[in-house]
Amino acid sequence: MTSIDGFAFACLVDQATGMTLAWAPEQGDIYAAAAAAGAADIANALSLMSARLATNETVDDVIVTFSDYFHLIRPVSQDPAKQILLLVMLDRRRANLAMARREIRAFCATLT
Amino acid sequence: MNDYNQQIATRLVRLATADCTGALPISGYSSGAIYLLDGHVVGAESSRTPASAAPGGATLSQAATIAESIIDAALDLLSSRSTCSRFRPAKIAPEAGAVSVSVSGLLGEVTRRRRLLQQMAGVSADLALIRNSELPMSRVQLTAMEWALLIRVQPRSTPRDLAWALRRSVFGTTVDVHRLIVLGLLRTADRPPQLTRRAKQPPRSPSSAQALSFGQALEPDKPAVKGAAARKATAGE
Repeated sequence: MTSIDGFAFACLVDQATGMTLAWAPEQGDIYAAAAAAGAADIANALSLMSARLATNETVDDVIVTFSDYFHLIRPVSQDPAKQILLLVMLDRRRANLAMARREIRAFCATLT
Repeated sequence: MNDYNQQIATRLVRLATADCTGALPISGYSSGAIYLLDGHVVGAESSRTPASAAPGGATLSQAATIAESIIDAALDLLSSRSTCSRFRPAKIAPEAGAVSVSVSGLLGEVTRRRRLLQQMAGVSADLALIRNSELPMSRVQLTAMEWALLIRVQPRSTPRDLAWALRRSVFGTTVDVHRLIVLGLLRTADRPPQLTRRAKQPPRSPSSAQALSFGQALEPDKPAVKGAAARKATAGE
């Protein structure tokens, strides 16, 4: 995960509660709480939207483009008992978004 | 806003400072214990929250489920007027530390959850619920967990009843129930509280529930829930 080009920060978040489960790098703790809360808020807003749209789709990932960073949010698994989100921050100057999405998808598969 | 049980919190902080290992029994409205290994919380149980059904903690999902059961029990114990009795030093198997939480992280998470509960417009773990007999929209899409909750709602079921039925977190179930109320699929079985003369603002009733904001529940202290499995997972190359 940390070897992805442009990697800056990542954290795992319990979608139901917004609790931060883990993050990397260690010194990224200054971002962890706000990043986890933001990821959970986005995922829950999309969950309400999915419920109301009822198009029988699930969220693969969410990409938020800031001026300097990409924020990628991806459900780690579709385990109904425990929905966990992975948030990854990537430096836009160094990241290849398509490659990063592939690597993040592969990484999530290793977690389940 | 540290409005949790100060007696238990103060005792936990002292035990953490002294790197204690053993059990802190708690009795009263909520009964249970909090287990520490070298000053870190490695377990918690409450008579009012289900224990984790996850075995071992080998996978990320299992580790997260165990961490959730610890925080869920601690939230219940620290939110009640229970009292703690004498700490019992005891050996705790090292594998019990597969998921460990710092005491400061635990207290920070309990505070964050109490803030979220305040946002929930009167929805609490012990609120009596009923299903709305008619869908308030032409169609709706639910997750498997939302469906599992919905079909178990009997007249006057509470989120705590549903959590026990599914052996999952009471807090997590309360959040999910809140979302089902926001969607209009569930409602409170009782009339919302009436306005009192002293109230400066009308209390928000569950029928006017709005989506939660985790961002608004942020506090300066950072939660530090770091299970070994979860740590390994993020560090994996």
